[in-house]
Amino acid sequence: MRFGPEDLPCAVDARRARVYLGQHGHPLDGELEARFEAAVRDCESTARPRGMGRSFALDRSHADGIALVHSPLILTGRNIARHLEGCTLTCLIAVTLGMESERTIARLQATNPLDALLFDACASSIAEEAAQAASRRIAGLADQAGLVPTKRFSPGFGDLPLDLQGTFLQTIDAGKQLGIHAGPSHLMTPAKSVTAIVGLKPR
Amino acid sequence: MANTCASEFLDRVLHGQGLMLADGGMGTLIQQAGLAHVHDVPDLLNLTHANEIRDLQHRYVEAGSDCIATNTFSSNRLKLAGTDTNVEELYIAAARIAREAGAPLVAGDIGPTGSLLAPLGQLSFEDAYDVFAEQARAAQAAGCDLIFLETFADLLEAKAALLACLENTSLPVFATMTFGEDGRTFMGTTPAIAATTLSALGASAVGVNCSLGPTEIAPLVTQMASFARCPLMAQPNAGLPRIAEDGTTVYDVDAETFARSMADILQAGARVVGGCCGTTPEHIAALRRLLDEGNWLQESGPGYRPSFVMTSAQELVELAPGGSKLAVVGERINPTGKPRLKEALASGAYDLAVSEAVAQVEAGADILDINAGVPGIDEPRVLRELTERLQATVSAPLQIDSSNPDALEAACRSYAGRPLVNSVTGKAESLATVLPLAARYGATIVGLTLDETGIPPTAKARLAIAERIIDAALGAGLRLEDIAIDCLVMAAATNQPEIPEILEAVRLCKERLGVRTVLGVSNVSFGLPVRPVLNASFLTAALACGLDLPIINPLDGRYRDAIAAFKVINGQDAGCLGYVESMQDAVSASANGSPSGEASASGEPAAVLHDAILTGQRDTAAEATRQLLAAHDAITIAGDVLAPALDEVGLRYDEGSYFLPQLMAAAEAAKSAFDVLAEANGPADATQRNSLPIILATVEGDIHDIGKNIVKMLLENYGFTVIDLGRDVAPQVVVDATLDANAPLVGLSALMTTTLPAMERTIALLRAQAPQTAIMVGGAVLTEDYALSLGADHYAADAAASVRIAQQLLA
Repeated sequence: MRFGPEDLPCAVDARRARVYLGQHGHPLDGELEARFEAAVRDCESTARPRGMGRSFALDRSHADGIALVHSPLILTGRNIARHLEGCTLTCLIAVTLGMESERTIARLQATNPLDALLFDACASSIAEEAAQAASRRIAGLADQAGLVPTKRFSPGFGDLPLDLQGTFLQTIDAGKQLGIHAGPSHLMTPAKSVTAIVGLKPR
Repeated sequence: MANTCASEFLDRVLHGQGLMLADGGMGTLIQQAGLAHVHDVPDLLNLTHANEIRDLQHRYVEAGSDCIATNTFSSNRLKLAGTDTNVEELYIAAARIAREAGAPLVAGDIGPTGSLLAPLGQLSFEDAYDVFAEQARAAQAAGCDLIFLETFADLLEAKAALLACLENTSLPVFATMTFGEDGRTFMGTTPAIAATTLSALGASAVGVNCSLGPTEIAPLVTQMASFARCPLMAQPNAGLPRIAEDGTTVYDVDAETFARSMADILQAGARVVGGCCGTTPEHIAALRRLLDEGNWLQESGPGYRPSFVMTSAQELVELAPGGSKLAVVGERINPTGKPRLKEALASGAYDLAVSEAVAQVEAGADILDINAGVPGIDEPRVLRELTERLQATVSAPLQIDSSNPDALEAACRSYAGRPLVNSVTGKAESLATVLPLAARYGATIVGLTLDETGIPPTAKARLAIAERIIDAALGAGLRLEDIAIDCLVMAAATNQPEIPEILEAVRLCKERLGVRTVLGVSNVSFGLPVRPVLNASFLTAALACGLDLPIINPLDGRYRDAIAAFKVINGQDAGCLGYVESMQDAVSASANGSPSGEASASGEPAAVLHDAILTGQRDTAAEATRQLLAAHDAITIAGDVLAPALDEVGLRYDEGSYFLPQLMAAAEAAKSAFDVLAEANGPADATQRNSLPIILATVEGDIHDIGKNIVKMLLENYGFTVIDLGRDVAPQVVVDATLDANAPLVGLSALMTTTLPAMERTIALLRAQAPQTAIMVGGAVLTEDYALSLGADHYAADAAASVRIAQQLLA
């Protein structure tokens, strides 16, 4: 079971973007609201959300954690073990907005930090939308196969270490397929990227 | 080494007189053989499964491949870290296997490092270069006949690899990049940009590999054809990947269909062909039959089109000979006469240059001239850093401007594209130093018509120097289409008789020498009043004489109008759409009577300013401050109006009625007010309430600095002086800057738990060497207790808290 790499057309969820700005869904006023709306437009024209998913069988006999068959990835920690309880397969998903939104954020940080903040919040909301779109793709495929997906679980959640990000991306070839790279501190470039693990259990 | 016959064949290919059939997908065969999961790095199979790899490669030789790529795509020291082998050993094994498989020619294969280059990632250009240089030397030592650079998505990384191969081996280098369905790489590079940049730099073949199927790749190869100065290469996948019912990736294009589709690529002019993912010996055998049956060397495709072309990683500017198109060069990133920019460059702060770049591009600049000629600075370092910073943020190609050859070289080397070097003169020393470096980095060049005797007054004498420069440039390996001549504008106030000669010289250079022309237009009005009027008229006259590259301030309205009008005249602005658009602002401005911002500040100015800060209105704040200056001095305005307004903003933030956006908008408005005060008082003004600077840095190993940047903005806009050391800053650099500036406060940020030890080291070093300095820290993973346990004096939970700490300590 797999999909992509493919486009995941998504728009800014303005309500969520405002939450990221600390506004808790309140509108901004006057001039600030106009600048936020401009950031929404700018972000939607710059971001190019794409994503992919790849499924793997699980090997629970590994001493260190749950191994993904035919991959170097071993999922460690109690939280992911509980998350994948009863699952026969897992699907790794990755989504990204691409390098142009990354460049735009870098440019805005130099020219106008407030516009950078507004754009950043909008981009984060599109990344979340893209992750949700990827989850829906998996849910659709799972349904055809008689499987039910769990919620998303990302490296860095709970006791699942962030430092498996690089191996995660390598396992699904996300560098070549989507242009996502993990740095030495295990964060991704483009920063507006999401990786997640979805468990699949029989209906 | 290859036998004589194979060498002669390679020689023909290099001259476009032979067709080379490379191999097909290696990963595909390794997967089919069940070897894909033996090692994390499949290249280790060369050591553990040499017989199997040889058998796989032998199948490609049998299918008719002229050249086999070694199984070394990932054999670089970064990807081999943690294995017990080394780069040299792998290339020796891999080249021997390919030779034993019967390969007529062996190409040492080099793929990307797998790490992102700075500034997006942390691998520096020179470190990437070293990684590739080690591979290139290993490939040559192992007896490879040539080198394949393949599957690059980042033009800068491809450039590092190509330079490493050219400077460390004598082997021909074939370079291919991988593109998406939108016709660009992940980093935004088009096939035309890749072909221009890599072939000018000295690749022996350029092209496309992997990416897509042959049908999709054919138009990409066609796009490359006009820009490649060397043979074209294509190694597509066997179609687009499809997911089979069993979940595996399959490539559907069978061997015969693949070969048929490759005909379009050969017709486009490709001379080196093969396959990538999903292609097998059957595909290569079918391609062999296609090559043997056709007379493909007769198919020249569109062919190379000699043009003046410069690139960034995302954009390409082309001026074709005989064409009437012009390209505007923005002149504003030059510290001469700009004290703020001079100071910023001297202290290694590049945000101001980025702002200038963005503003000029928005005003219509096609190319940006960049100059870091500040007396006493390390110009090579600063010009290189400026180049790297600009190419990460704006897309316009750069014109590297310096009279210092070391600075030109430093900037050209790590420039992600094909730069324009500004400039070489007719002086013997300049010709001898600048032209070779322009040739080495595949740059285009501006030649100034001056020599040891100065700038000659007549058009004929200027033309003569231009001819000498061109002769020398051609001798150094540049081509005629790479050269632009600057006939040097003199001031009408002092050299009026020369003005017509300059225009005539431009015309003669175009007509007789066939080169592009450049002029620094605004020199003409030096010493005269209302300079833009004369500048714009002279610009139009020069454009009419054939000026291609006017160096101007694109923010100047008269220049903009003159350019917009001329693009209608020369036909560049098809349908006059650009003209109509650019005149819309003028029409609406005259309809409204006055520009925005002027009339909006009504009421008592102090109250208006207070309100403008609280509501984050920059223009209103500036205008109210101007009005206040009529009756009050700057210190009173700063102390009695701005400070209480900012305090009110802080209060609202603390009580939760303001959030970060309002806080930053207020700070922006305050900054525009402070700017007005500073302007009124001159640079050494008393409104900088706190003159000792605060040092800010994101700690070593951490490149996540958005939080630090917000802190910087707030501190500055609250009137503090900030020295921003940037991100990934070594402890000693923080200490040195602190001591140099006698800074009372240092702010450190770290986003990741993994970089907290670096924060601790920095604090310890500061304590040891700068014990008087207070330290505040912040970052997502920190808590108050943790911050104090690291040895910091203060924990800034957010950007507003850092301002309060600074106020307590310094106000």
